[in-house]
Amino acid sequence: MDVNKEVLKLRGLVVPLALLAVWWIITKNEWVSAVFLPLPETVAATFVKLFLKGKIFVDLNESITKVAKGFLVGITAGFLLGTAMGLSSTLEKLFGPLFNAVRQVPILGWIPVLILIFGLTELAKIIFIALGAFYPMTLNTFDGCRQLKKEYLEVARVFEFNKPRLLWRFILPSALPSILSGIRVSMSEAWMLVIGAEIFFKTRGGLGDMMWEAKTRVQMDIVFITILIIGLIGFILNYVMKILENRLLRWRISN
Amino acid sequence: MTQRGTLDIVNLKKTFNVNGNTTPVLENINLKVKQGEFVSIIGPSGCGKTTLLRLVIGLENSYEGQILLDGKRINGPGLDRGVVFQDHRLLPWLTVERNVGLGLEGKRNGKVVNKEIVQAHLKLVGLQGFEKVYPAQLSGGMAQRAAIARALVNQPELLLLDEPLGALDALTRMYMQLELEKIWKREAQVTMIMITHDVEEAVYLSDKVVIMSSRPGTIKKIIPVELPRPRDRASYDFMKLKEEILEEFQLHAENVFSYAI
Ligand SMILES: Nc1ncnc2c1ncn2[C@@H]1O[C@H](COP(=O)(O)OP(=O)(O)OP(=O)(O)O)[C@@H](O)[C@H]1O
Ligand SMILES: [Mg+2]
Repeated sequence: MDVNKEVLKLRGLVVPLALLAVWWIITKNEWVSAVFLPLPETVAATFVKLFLKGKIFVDLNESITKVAKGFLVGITAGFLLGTAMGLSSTLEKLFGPLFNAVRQVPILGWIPVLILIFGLTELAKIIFIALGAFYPMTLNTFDGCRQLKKEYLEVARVFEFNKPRLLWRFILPSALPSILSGIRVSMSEAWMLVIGAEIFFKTRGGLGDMMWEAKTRVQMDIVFITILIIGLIGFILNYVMKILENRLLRWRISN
Repeated sequence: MTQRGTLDIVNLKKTFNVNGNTTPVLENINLKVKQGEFVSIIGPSGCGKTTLLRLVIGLENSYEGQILLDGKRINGPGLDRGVVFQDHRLLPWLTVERNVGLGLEGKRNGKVVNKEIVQAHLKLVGLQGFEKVYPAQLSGGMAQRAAIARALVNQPELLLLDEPLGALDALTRMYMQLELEKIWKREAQVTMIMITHDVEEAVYLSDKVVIMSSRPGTIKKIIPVELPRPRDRASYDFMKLKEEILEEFQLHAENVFSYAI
């Protein structure tokens, strides 16, 4: 039984391994120029070199710090606006239409505005990332605050709960599943946008910059490695969030 | 000064507005319940039992006539009334312990005292050892018992139960009836009003059985049950009373599912 589960977990590796094999076959037979598609061995060797040189950690650290800042600002703002609109229909009528209109503007559309106002600064990048985290967090929190069933609301009335305790004991817990998936989506959004921020706001440092530099110098192996690292970190973040969700939502699992 | 836990319903009328039409749901309801009495309400589906109970709980506020608790008009829910809903309505995100303690949260008793009160009530319903369990992990009977404990924690003067045992299987149900009787005896002051579909359950537990009829919901008859306790379900008097109530619904005992003892 346990063995079966372990085997099932490994299923996720089948497609990546197949792709790796295809990649290897293509490059070995030189069907594609090594400039565009370097050999897997080359990529691995470059990876080791970068790893030993250590600069990659500086870039990684830079990107992660930026994401953390933008993400925290974005989800805090999203949580506050989402709860406000979820709890008060007046606030929803005031902010809802504006929020939904602004949300239609693609995040990339904000780049010129941010550059004109804040210049090519760290702040501009953080706001850009925060914006990406803000939308899904607001929507999910708002949605979550509306999840409380009328039946439970009656329980709160029977026990004469006041507003703050109603929020703490009833509304927020019933919103928690939605809020947590909001956090998860915001996190991947923020992580995706940091690369964009580093490329479009043309500044030194970070994984995005590393990738762009490598592109300029036609170092496909480095481009590959950055893509791999970005994907891997995104995967890990998602995984950690899933574990956190399972822990916090233990009450949903029966037996 | 009326005694704690007396309920007085006088000429109660309740209508619901559905799509602009006013439909009467309850009409001419008159009922007196004394302190410590156990009253069952029985009647066909849709006759307004739940509506009547919700009015007493204070969850429905527009009505004609009077609903007086200890001589005072009921105006919204209050901790003087405990409620057990048909669907137990335990909060799924709180442990049994936290659920049972919900009613104590607003009180400034201090943590230790609150914990003791919760423990005492868990013991009362036989749920010691299940403090840290979530409702999803409880059986139907256990969840219903937790709900009863939750309703009793504030020492209400009036306990209102809407088909508390309706969702349980026959055996668990009989067991819970014994439990309910035990609780009622131990909490000698508390008045209980219970809705049920089960005539035997009503006769077994009640001092008074209120029979309702529908469209609009009215009280058809109030039958006092004066059998000595503990009651013997197989005794002649018990059977006769059961028959008498079933008669009111134009049903005979042989047509109705009854427990074999
Ligand atoms: N909020 C409401 N709005 C409109 N009509 C309602 C509402 N609540 C109940 N009713 C109607 O009032 C009548 C009585 O309902 P109620 O739930 O009190 O019946 P009941 O006796 O508890 O039935 P059951 O035994 O099936 O639980 C029904 O016809 C129902 O459709
Ligand atoms: Mg009902």
